Amino acid sequence: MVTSFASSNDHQAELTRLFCAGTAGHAASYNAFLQKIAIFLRRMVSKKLPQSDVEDVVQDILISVHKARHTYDGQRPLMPWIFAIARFRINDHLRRLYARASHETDGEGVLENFQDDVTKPLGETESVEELLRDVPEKQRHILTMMYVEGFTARETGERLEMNESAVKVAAHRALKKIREKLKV
Amino acid sequence: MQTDDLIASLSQEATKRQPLHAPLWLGLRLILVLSAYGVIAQFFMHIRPDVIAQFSRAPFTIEIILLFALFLSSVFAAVVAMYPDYYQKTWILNLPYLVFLVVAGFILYQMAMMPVTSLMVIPPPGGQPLECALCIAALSMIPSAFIFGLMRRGASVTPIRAGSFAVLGAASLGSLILRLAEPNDSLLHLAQWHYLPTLLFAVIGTFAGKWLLKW
Repeated sequence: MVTSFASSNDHQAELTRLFCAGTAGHAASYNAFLQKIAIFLRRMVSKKLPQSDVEDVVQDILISVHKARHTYDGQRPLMPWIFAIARFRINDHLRRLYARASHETDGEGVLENFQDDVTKPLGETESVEELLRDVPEKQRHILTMMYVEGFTARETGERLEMNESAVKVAAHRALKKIREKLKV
Repeated sequence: MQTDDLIASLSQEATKRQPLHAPLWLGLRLILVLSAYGVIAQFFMHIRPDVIAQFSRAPFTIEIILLFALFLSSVFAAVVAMYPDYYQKTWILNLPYLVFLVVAGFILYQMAMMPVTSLMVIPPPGGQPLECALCIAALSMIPSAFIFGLMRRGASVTPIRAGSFAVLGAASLGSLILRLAEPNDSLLHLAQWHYLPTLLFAVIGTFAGKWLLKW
């Protein structure tokens, strides 16, 4: 499907037109462009990554396409440019995934020796600190700013010198991690 | 956050943004600036007194041309690597490796097949050969910073490789300046203290690229 989508000249021409209009400052065209590529990015990513990671990686790719939009000048085919960015982010994600997997394997033996204390009060393991412990420092900081101190994503971004969308993505990931932990 | 929300948020940020110039334009501008730096550095380093006589020797001329080709190809490869799709000219990324192999092969060929001529300056053993490597490193600092500075404006999907091109381009310029300044034609010296360090700097460039070209 990805190939047929990418090889369709009409689609490519349409995407190129929308993208060029978007980089010229036309928000509606840019929105349409991102919506269209999100569809085939989802297909592309779901072939290579577990379903639970697809949306995160698609968002990563969309942010990367947005950040790198000045490297495309409309003088060459657009799809190879998008594929290159998508491949880069997918490989990036796979590297992190493998690194985490190997790290978790190393810790298996240790975990077996420290089984959960079933008599431990429930409240202690479900404290906020406990939940936030596995969240990376930066994401924890963003969560604290947004949900404890009451800053908006834009204000948090301004204070941390980050893009608003990057703040939202980081917060989304942190919440996802916490949700997963609560399920366990 | 849902993907649709992210798209809406990104669309709001879709302000007019000027695209990067084509690699040819950027590369030529970069080469012009680095060449100006090279001329100034050469002025301070001085040119070896027998340079005209050396240019009458074919191997010396070929070596200088190859060094210049290495500089050009590395700079263009670094510029092309700024684009995620390499501006759809992937072949340019192989040129620096190819030229470096030709340089190495040419030096080895001279060592094995070409006799030492009276025009070649072979200083007596000793001295401070390490100075040559340090000199190339020092001469490469500013061009490396300049090339990395430009590359950070792009979005490289191969930062490790791109970093090696940046430093190889800068180090080949350093080698070129030193070759025109130092009256020493010992091929063993050139291989050990000019070209091997140049290769080593390119390897160091891979680490620099990994950190400096993140986006």
